[in-house]
Amino acid sequence: MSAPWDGAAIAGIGQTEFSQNSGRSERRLAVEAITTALADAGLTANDVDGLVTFDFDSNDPASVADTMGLRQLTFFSETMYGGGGGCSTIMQAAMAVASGSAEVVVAYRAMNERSGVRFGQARVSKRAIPAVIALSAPYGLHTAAQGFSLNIARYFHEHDVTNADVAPLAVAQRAYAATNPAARFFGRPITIDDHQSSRWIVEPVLRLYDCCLESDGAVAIVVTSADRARHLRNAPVAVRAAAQGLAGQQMRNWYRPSIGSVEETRVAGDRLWAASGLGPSDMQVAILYDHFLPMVLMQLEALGFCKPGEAKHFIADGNRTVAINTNGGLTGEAYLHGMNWITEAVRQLRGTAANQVRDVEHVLVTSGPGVPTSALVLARSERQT
Amino acid sequence: MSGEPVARSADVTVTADSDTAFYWDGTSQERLLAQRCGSCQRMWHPPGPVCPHCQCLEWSIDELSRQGTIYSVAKVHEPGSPIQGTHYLVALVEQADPQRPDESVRLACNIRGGDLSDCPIGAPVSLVFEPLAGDYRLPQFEVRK
Repeated sequence: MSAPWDGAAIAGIGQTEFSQNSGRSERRLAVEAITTALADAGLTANDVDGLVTFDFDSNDPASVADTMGLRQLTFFSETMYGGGGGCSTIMQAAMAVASGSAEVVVAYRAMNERSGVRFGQARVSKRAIPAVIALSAPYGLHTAAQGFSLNIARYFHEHDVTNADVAPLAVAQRAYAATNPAARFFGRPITIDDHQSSRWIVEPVLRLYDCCLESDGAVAIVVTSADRARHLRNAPVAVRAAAQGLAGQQMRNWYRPSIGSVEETRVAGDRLWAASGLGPSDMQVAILYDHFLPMVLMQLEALGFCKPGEAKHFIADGNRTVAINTNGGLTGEAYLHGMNWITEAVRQLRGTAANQVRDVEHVLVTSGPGVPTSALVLARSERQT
Repeated sequence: MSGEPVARSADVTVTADSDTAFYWDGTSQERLLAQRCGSCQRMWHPPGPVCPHCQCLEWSIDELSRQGTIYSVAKVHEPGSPIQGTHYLVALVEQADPQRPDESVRLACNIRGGDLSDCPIGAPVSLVFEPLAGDYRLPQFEVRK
């Protein structure tokens, strides 16, 4: 396989506060995050020639460009499949830079998902169910939690896992959130009992404390060439490898041979390891998408951190060789569909995280499993003064 | 609390398209139908224009068994559904290909006739149909206690 990629790096990150009601428009949130990220990189709007965001975002690149007065973009894109698309934004930005299609690409995500349209609510037209969901909606399979529950239930059955086995992970992530000032649950850790007595969302797989937050806020990330990033304000964070992963449907992944595993994450991970020449044991931190905590266990197995069925032991107290979800996660910090994932990875590699791990060289970041997904290996790199 | 069917599906219609029309037409006769590949002879579900095993575009239609086995199951507490209410069982039921018993297809459904403790993975279930508005009917499965 080819040598680890060294074409692009993350030069700046920015975000708004995360809240339950931002009190301002998503477009304004996007611009705030983008402006902050550019300032962090030591760049300005005039330097930007690329924009990339996810679908399920109301601010397409043209609206943002027009709002900010950006008039010369040579790369613009939206990545697919909602929460599976976060790492894809960095992948596409890095590809644009490496191919010479753009020099400074900003990836962004802005949503009032708590005060605005909420993904966790089931909305169905009662008159005519469209053909594409005719085999799920009539059965009350509307939301991600309802749909993924069938995958998680199968995983639990195949490997003798119960919801109680997930509790140590919830406690560990809320402990990280408790010491992260940006987190919704700053100052509010939980115990195993708190987790196990939280109410069922879908029994016997998902309790309230297994499910991610709904948040208002925005995140932006500036990607440029590795060479340029070395001469900007921060230690660059190199995009060492990037991949997407598609191994079936989105959200209704019930028909492929194995549904009790996150095959899409495995596909992406296999490509990351092959492309980078690295493996799970080279990662000091793993930021694994936790829209639903049981799927963190499934990702640990799919990525090769442990064998199938072993994740419940891997996450048990004191049994971890890699720090997981050090900002508190989507369940503890905020839910910006994984973009606040990538910023945490950047902070860990720069040495500026609230829960800083020692000697971080490589961080793995994943986007949403259960849908076509994406993942990154980010690496520490040096500035040139 | 047992999973009482809310039967709000009678208020709802489903839209069939050119790929799924045969399936929904079958439900109007209370038959559960699936495609069989003209080349590799394997069945598939959900309905689609091409065999997902070998990509062949030629296929015929066969009827699935009226018995199945629970492959995965869970009970939705919240946020619930405008169609199924709250505290309902969602499941995947596995049905063997009548001609090739080592192979199977899976259908998403609700389970009627019992609560979660009556419906472990592996439990046998039987096909039933519930009303929809219009001619189509909604395949469901019920557990035998």
